[in-house]
Amino acid sequence: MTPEFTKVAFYQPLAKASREARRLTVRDDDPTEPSTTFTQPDRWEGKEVQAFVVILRTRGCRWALGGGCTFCGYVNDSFVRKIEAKELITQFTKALASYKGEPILKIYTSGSFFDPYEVAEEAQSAIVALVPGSVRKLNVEAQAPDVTESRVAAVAKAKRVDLKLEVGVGLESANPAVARYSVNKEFFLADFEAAAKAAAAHGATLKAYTMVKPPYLTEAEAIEDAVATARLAGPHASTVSFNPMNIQKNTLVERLWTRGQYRPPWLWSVVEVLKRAKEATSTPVKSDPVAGGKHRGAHNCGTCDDHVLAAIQAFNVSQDVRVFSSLACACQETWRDVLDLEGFHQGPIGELADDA
Amino acid sequence: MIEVLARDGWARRARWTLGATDVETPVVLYVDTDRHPAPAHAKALLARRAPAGDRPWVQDLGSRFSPLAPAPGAAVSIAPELPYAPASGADLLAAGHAENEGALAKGQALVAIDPRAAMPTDASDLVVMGSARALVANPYALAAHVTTLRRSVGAGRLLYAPGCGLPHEMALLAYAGIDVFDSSAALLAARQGQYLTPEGPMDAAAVERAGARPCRCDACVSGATGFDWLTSHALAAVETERARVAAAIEAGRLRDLVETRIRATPEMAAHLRRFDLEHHDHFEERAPLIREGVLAATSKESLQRPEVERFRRRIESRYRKPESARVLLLLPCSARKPYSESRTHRRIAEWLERVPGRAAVHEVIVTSPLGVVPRELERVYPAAQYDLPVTGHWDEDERAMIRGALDALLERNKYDRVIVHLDETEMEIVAPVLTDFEHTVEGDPLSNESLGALVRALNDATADGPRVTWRDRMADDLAAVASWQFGEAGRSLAEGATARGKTPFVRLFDGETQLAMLTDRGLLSLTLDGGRRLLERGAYRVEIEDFVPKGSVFCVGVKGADREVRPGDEVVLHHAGDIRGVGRAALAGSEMTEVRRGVAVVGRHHVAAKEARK
Repeated sequence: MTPEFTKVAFYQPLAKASREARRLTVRDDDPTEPSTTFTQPDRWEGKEVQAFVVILRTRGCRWALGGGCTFCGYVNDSFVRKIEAKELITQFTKALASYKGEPILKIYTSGSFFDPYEVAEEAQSAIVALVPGSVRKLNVEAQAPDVTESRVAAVAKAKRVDLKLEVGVGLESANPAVARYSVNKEFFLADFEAAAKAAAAHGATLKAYTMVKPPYLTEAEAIEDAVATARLAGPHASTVSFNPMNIQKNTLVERLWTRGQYRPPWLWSVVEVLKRAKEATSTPVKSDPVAGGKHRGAHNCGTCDDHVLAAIQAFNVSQDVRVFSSLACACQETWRDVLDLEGFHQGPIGELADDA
Repeated sequence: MIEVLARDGWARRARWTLGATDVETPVVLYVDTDRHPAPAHAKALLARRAPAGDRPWVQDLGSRFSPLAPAPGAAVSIAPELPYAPASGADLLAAGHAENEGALAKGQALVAIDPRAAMPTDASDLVVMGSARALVANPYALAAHVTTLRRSVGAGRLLYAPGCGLPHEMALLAYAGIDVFDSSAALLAARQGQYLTPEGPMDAAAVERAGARPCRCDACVSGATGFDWLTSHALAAVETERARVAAAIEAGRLRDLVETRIRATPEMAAHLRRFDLEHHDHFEERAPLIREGVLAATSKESLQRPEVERFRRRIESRYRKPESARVLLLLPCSARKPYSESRTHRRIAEWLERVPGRAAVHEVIVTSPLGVVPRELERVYPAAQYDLPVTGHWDEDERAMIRGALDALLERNKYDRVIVHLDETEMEIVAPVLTDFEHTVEGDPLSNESLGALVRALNDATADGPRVTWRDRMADDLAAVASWQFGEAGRSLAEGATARGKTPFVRLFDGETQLAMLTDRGLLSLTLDGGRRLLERGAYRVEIEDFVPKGSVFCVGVKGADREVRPGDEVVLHHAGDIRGVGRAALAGSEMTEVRRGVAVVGRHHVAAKEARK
């Protein structure tokens, strides 16, 4: 089932192309200042609550510094030089000055919280220990190979016993060909499964981030790929979260997009993915399309985008696909034609003439 | 298996054996899906699953991310590819191309994503141009990509541009060497509310408001509406234009069609300009030396046609004036061709009879778009066949082009005197590149006063210096023609030779041995002895297998050919340096070894069998 190239780390020419699209620059900002903090709506125990989000500025995702995923521009915000553990701890302490008792806390770095290269083990434990008592659930993000039993154990030991820990992992696709030839991912579904096992051993859960329409896939392939990923990863995850492509700066996907050789997914595709993924797995599925309705994000014709986005948000809460049943727009037929015909192009279709 | 039926530059009409059926290219593969069934007029289909009926079909096996299983009955399968797009960068394209090639099953059509890569030999004779749609939309990228790819693919294979086939783009793409199109772009355009015409898409709503549909296809006549109407019309429009392009190739007039079709969009016009300005050598290589009919130079692009540019470049780089001609006489052009048959030139010729030394005068006609045309080349294509809107207004491009051509002529050829018999406007165009000249026109170039002044000036200019006989001058004229036709090798063909006969049927002799004859097309045709001279100079050779050609030489019998050979050129046939015959090339030299079928050289003379050494 799994081709032998899963043994090979990655596809060098794609990694090189991904790296060449980047413009990595060393930042001289204050290493004790967090990148930003903000709050966003989320769900906790069936109720809508606010989540407090802290974005720590690290040296950067180790994988991205070497090329990394073809669409990820988070490294643009990173220092690209070593940041000491105590500096990261200070960043977090400063961030907490804005904390106002939200029950969910999300600590995002630009890469992998469990990677000691990015966040020293000393800092991982110290930051978790600093989480305020009113926080009920802590979210961090990590690469699957970093989610090992020993690291999860260390963090679990440092945190309050009743603090739930959820680790978001960017699986992107369960298809090894997509991981290797499109995303330039450094790990595969099997690594995700292993990470889930390591997390479960210490009461933590995994959230599976799944890409909708990585580069070089047609719209139709992207839908199938996202649904298949939900089906395969769902049993190992607490949530499957679909990330429709948004065009980030200094990425290979941005290069393709600016030259008319990539189009972010249609919002109809996101709806289709959610409807079918809901069937494919019993795990909750959701999507928060970044830049939804905009050129750089998942979009339709411009007329119906707001309605479709609202329906997606409603679905995230209700998990009820009936919220999609009343959606309709003339551009659906264009989208269906794209699904039917794009594959015959043997290459990207870009934006259509009056689809902007 | 393909067999080329007709060529026009890189464009061909070919018979393509597709499964059990032969289809003729250029051909459109009509998409056949549940959502979009192929139209009844489709000769070949494009599908993911087996279509109903028995029409030949090409199967798309998807990409490497989600490959489909090959279906029995498909005439060709397009291999599941890594569809890396051009903006991915050259290194990734090269690596991805190698991956695609490595994964190719025997007989499958390769999706070529790196235009520079060599094509696998055991693949299908159909090669698919990856990302063709994105390239056609990009005015910067298509020209370099498609010219490189067409060369890599080789003339023995068909090139398919998937996602391309809108009526207004087919002529240009066929011109670039695309043989196969599909209907997917037309279907998408119809969905976008576009009413397709060969002149470009129109807003369907405007067509509806106009009250009458500008087309007689079934859908337009039937009164169908909405998407059904636009789709059926689009597919009919695609097929109509396909037939139009095929007919243009057959007639050798594809370039005329291209120049009208590119008006549809700025991208199309940009592609053609890049073809002409940045890839002249590529297109000139396959452009025939001789064509039938009039070259109507009615657009800006006409000035840059490969044959027009070739004429100018040969004047600048190959041509040597008749040696004995010492006095340059610049004359105006005429609408009628060849010039000497025009009223203007006949009148000038009558007056020139009053110049006893006129064998030393070199008449050169100043004209757009060819620049300068020496009298002895006036019957050569396209000098004898061009026509353009004559207004008396010369635009800056034309002025610069004429000055450039004249400057280059004077750079390589020395004259004792220059006499300008042009009107005031034209004189001012050429004056900046002349250091010293005499202007003999006052008002009308054909007035008795002007022509009288011309005769006086010429008599004065030819009074001194050695007397030139017509016999010598005729040989020199043939040498000049040979220099344009064969380059340096042509000059040695005519070295020490003499001319006999009456214009235009002049023959070139070495003593009593005939070397060549001037044909009514203004160029030389070779005898075996003339061929020997070219062979010695290592030019215009076609090497054949060890046989004596008793008629036409087929491509299978060709071992190699000189790169300078153009379709229509005179060539010498040899085996290992041993002359076997002379003839006229049916193909460019570079193509003779790329295809396995068809005539390469139409033989004229061959050696006796016993002369051919073992």
